[in-house]
Amino acid sequence: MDGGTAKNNNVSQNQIKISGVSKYYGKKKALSDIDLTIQRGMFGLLGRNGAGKTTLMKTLAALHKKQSGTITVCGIPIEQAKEIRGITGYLPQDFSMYPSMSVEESLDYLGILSGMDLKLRRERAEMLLKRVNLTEHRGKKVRALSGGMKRRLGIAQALLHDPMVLIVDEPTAGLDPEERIRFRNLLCEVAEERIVILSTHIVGDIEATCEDIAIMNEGRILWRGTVSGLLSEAKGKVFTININKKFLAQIKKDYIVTGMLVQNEFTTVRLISEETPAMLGALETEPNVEDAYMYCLYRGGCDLGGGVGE
Amino acid sequence: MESEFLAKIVKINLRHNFLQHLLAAIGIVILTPVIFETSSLDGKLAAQPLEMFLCLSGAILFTPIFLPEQDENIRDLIRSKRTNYLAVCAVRFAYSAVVLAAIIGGFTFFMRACESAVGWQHFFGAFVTALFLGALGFLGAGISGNVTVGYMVAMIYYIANFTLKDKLGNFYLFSMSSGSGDGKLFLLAAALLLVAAVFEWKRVREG
Amino acid sequence: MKGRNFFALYGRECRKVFCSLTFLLYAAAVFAMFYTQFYSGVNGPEVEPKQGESYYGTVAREVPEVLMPRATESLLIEYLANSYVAYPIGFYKEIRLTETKRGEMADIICELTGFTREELDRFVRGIKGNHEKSGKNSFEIGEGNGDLQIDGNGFVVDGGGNLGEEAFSLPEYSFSESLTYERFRKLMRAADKLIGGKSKYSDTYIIYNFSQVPKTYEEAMEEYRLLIKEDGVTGGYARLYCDYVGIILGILPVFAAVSLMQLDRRARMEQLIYSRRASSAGIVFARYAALVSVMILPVIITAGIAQAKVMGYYPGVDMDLFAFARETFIWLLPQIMLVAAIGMVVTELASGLIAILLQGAWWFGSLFSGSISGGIGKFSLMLRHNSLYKRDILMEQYGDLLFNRAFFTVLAILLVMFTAVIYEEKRRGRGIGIRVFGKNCKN
Repeated sequence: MDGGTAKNNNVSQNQIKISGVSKYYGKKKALSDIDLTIQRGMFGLLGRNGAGKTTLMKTLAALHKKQSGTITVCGIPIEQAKEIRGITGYLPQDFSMYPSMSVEESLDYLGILSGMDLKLRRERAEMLLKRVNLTEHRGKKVRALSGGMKRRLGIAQALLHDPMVLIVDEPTAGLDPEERIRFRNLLCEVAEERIVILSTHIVGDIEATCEDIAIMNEGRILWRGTVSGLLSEAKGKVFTININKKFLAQIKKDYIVTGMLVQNEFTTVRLISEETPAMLGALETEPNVEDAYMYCLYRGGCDLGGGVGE
Repeated sequence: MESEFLAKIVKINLRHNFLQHLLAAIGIVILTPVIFETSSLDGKLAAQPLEMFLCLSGAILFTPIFLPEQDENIRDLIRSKRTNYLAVCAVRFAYSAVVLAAIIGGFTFFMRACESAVGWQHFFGAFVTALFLGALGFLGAGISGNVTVGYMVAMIYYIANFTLKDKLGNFYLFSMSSGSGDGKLFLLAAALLLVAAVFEWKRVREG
Repeated sequence: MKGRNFFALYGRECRKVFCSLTFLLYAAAVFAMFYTQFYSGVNGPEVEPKQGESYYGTVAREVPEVLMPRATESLLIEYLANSYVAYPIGFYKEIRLTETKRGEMADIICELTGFTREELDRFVRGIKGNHEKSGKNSFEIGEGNGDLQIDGNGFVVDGGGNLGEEAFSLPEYSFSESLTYERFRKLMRAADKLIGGKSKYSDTYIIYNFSQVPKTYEEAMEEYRLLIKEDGVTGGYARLYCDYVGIILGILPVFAAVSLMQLDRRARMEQLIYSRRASSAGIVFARYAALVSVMILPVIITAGIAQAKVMGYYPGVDMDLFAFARETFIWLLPQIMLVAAIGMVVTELASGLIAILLQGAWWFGSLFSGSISGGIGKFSLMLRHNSLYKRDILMEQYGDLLFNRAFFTVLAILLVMFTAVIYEEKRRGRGIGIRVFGKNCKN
C-alpha cells in the first residue's frame, strides 16, 4: 500500500500504541515493559545516552525485534514489517549515503526502494530539496557535503515517500546553532501533518519543538506528559544561591547542581532541592526544562553522580 | 616512553585486528603439506610448496593493514591522536613481516626435518615472494581504501604467474621452482618500493 | 516489489557494479587472460594433415600391448622404492605404503610379473644392502614434474625416496602371458586404490601416462575433420576460449559480489535501506542480476573478438556462427552465477574475507586437481578442455557438462534466495549470521 492511502480519520489509525514492550540484548534488558501512546505532532523522547531511545525507535521502524508486548503503528501491527516500512520514514543517528552518488541520485535510489514511481520520485525530490535548502547542491556528490547538508539530505530522504510517521534519532547532533534552529523549525512544520518522534539528549531541542514528551532511563519510561507538566512538577524545587567558591565542592555533594556562574567574589549556583536549602540567600527560581528534566531523573532514582550530568 | 606506547599499540592491534588474519594464514600453512609433498624433495621441488602456496600468507597478512581504519570516521579519529597514524600502520607492517618470517622460517625448518633439500635461499626466496604478493595487496587496499580490492590485486597477479609463467621475467614468483632464484632480489626491491610508495601516497593524500 | 521498480533498481545496481573498482579489475583480468592465452595463441588456421608425413604428433590411445608392460615396469620400480607418485591436488605428492598395504601391493606385482613373493623380497633386500654400501653417485635431477625417467637398464627417481640417490638395474622379469587386459586394468585399479587414488595408474591418468602412441594420418585427418565439419570450426575455438576465460571466472566474480554486498555498510547506508518498503528479495535479486549481467559483458565482448578473429582465418568455410554464443552461455554464465552467489551469501552470513578464502580454496582445488583437457566432473567448478580438438572426448561427457552447469545454475539461484532470507532477518534486527571473528569483522 502507498504511504498516503492509509490516512484516515479513525483515531487508532493516527497514533502509535505501544504496550508492554520488552527487549533484551542477551541478558541485558534494553527495553522494559514500555507502555506509550503517541499522537500526531511532535513527540520528544528524552534520556541519557544508553537509556534505550535508539532501541525503541529502531523497534518502531521495524528494524529491531521486540521480545514481548504489542505495537501498532497507525493501526498496523509492527510484525507486518513491509507495511510499517511503507508508512514510516527513519533517520538514524549515524548514517551516510554512497559517496559517489549525487544528492539527487541518492534520493532517487532510495525512492525506488520505497516503491515510488518515476514521476512521484521527481516531484517529491524537487519539493523536498527546496524545503531543506539543497536545491542548488542537487548535483553535488554526497562525499562533498558538509555535516549539516548531510543531515538535511537525511531528513529529505526520510520524508521522501510522505510517511505518516517520521522517526528521527538525535538529529541535531553535530549541527551548528543556526542549522539546529532551522532543522527544528523544519521538523515542526513537518509535524503538522504526521507523527514525528524525535529523540535527543539535548534538552533545548525538546523545549523548542515538542509539547508531548517522554523521559527514558535504563530501558523504562520514567515520565510521560507535556513540557508544561514537567515544568510544573519542578516548581518550587529549583533555587539559586550565591556562595563562596570554597563551599562549591560541598554543595555539589549535597545537591544536584544544574548551573553555575563563576563571578569574581562568589559563584552563583543553580540547584535542585526538595526543600529550601538551609543556607542564607537561597532563592526559589522558575525552573527551566533542563532543571525539570534533572529533577525528574533525580526523583526517578537515577544516580546523577553529583552535579550536572551529560 | 615512545617505545612503551608502541608496545601497547602492538598489543591492542594484535588482539583486535590481527587475529583473524593470522588464523587464515595459519590455515594456509596447515593446508600446504596436505596439497604438496614436503618430504625428501630436491631443491626445485621443495620450492613448489613454498613459492606456489605458502606465499599466499603474505597477501593475507599485509593486505588488511589499513583495514581497521577503512571507515573514514574511525580514520579521522585515529589520525587526530598524538601518535602518527602511519607509524601505527608501519608497526603493523613490521609485526606482520615478523610473523610471516616466522611462518615461512618454521615451514622451511619443517621441510628440512622431513629431509628436503632446503636452505636459507628457500627461506629467503619464499619470504620475498610472499612479501611481494603482500605488497601488491597492500598497494591495492591502500590506494583504493577497500581491502577487497587489495585481495583481488594480489589474486590476479597470482593467477598471472600460472598463465604467463616466466614471461613475467624478474617478476615471476615461482622462479625457484624452475631452477633459478635470481629474480628474488628484484622482487624484494620491488616489494619495498611498492610499500614505500603506498606510505608516501598515504602521507601526501591524508597527511 | 513492482516490476517497474525492480527494473529501476536493477538499473541503478548495474551502474554501481559497472563503476566499481572490483569490476574494472575483473574486466581487465578477463581481457588480459583472453589476450595472452587465446588471442595471441591463435595465429592462423589449423592446417589440414598431408599424407606421407613421418610424424603427426602423438595421441593417448588405449593400446594394451604398449600400456601393459610400461605401466607394470613403472609400478615395479615404485614398489621397489616404496615411493609412489600421485597428484591428489595436481601437485607432486609422494606416497609411501604401510607394511600391510605393501604386502597387498606385492601380491599385485607378483601377479603382474610372475615373480614369487620370495623372489620379490630378495630384490628388495638386495637393493637395500646395495644402498647402504654405495656412496652417493652423481645424479640427474628430474624436471621437477615428478615423472620417472627411464633410460635403458638404470633409472632415476626424482624427488628423493629411499632410493633417491641411487641407480640400480631393474630385475629381469617376464610379463605374465596369461594375464588378460581386463585383469590387468583391474589390478591397476587396485594398485591405485592402495596408493590412495590419483596415481599414475588411475583410470584418469593411466592411458595418458603409459600409452602415448604416434598418431596415424587417418587419426590426424579425423581430428581435423571433426573440427572443421562437426564443430563447424568455431566450436573447437569456442571451447578453448571458454577453457581459458573460465579460469578467471572461477574466482574473480566473488570479489565484485563481496564488494557490492559490503557497499551499504561501508557507506553507512544500511539503516536507510533497511527502513525502506522494498522487499528483501527484490533488493537481493536486483543486485544479483546486476552483478551477473554486468560481469558477463567483458565475456561477451572478448567472445565476439575471438569469433571475428577465428572467422577471418577460415574464409569460405561453412561455420557454426552460434558456437561462441552457445558455449559462453552454457559453459561460462553458470559459473559467474554460482561464484557471484557464493560471494553474496557468504558475505551476508559471515564476512567478505571468508567468502574470498572459501572461493579461493575451491578455485585452487578445482584448477589443480582436474585434468586440463576433457576432465569434466559432475561437480567441478571449472570445466577444462585445453584443446581445439578432442571433440569426441568432450561429447562423451557432454551430459555431465550439462548436468554440471544446470546444477550450478539451480544452486546459484537457491543461494541467492537464501541470501534474501538472511538479508530480511538482519533487516528485522535478528542476529542471524555467523560472526566468526567478532562483530567488528568488516572486511
